[in-house]
Amino acid sequence: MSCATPTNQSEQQRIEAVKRHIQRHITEPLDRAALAALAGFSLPHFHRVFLAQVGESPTAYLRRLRLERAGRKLRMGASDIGEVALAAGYGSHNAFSKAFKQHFGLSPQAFRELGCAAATRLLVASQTAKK
Amino acid sequence: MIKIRLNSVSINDYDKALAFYTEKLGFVKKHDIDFGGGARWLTVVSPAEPDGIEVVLDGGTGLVVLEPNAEYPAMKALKADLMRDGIPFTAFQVDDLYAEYERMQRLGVEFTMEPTNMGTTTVAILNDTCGNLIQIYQMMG
Repeated sequence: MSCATPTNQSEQQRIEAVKRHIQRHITEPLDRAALAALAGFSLPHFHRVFLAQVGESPTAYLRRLRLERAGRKLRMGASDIGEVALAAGYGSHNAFSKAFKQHFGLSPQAFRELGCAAATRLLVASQTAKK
Repeated sequence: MIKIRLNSVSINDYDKALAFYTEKLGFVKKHDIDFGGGARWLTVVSPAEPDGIEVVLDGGTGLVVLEPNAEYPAMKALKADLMRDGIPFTAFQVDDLYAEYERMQRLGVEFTMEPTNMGTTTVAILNDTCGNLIQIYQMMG
């Protein structure tokens, strides 16, 4: 039992470092193997620890951050949804729209038409859903 | 005739803010007057418009006052909420957004939103390290 705490703290610190890395490099391609290597874990262990600590898988975490980033652009009135989709890592408008709607419950176009307060409520709900 | 000549940005450390706003963003110091008791009247301006006259015509601002009021409870709460929600505290115009984005990135400035086409403007959002998100924008066309 006495050994468990330092190990857990270390894992927590590593996952926090990975999260900071993802946030700083959100516009770049990020793959799970590289993230696992950054944490110093094998891929299965990284997946398990990340999921336990963050409440969602690394892939889901990355997807959510990118969709929230896209949502913030749309809230400000981004005119080119294709560009927003591309920046969020989606190769097509359709794939982005589908993922966006699945996450926020409405299409990118509809999200863009929301007022600032309503869009912010959805964004904050998304950010806090896993905390 | 009413004019806009001041725009305040809430900070909590004069020297840190002055370094960021001059060395990273590219403003130049205009006034730095010691009021005593740790208070200063600290302003920066665009090097292109040191007197800020034309800025009023742009609908922008002439002077940026760096105000150390970030610990005032209401301001602290506002700043925290704006930061959490990803909403900029204020905005500054640039001539070439992509050039400024790349220049600032090389200087280590953290952007929370890369240049994005908004139709009449292209905008990006950065973290000023003083508890604020700052929007920079370029008018298009």
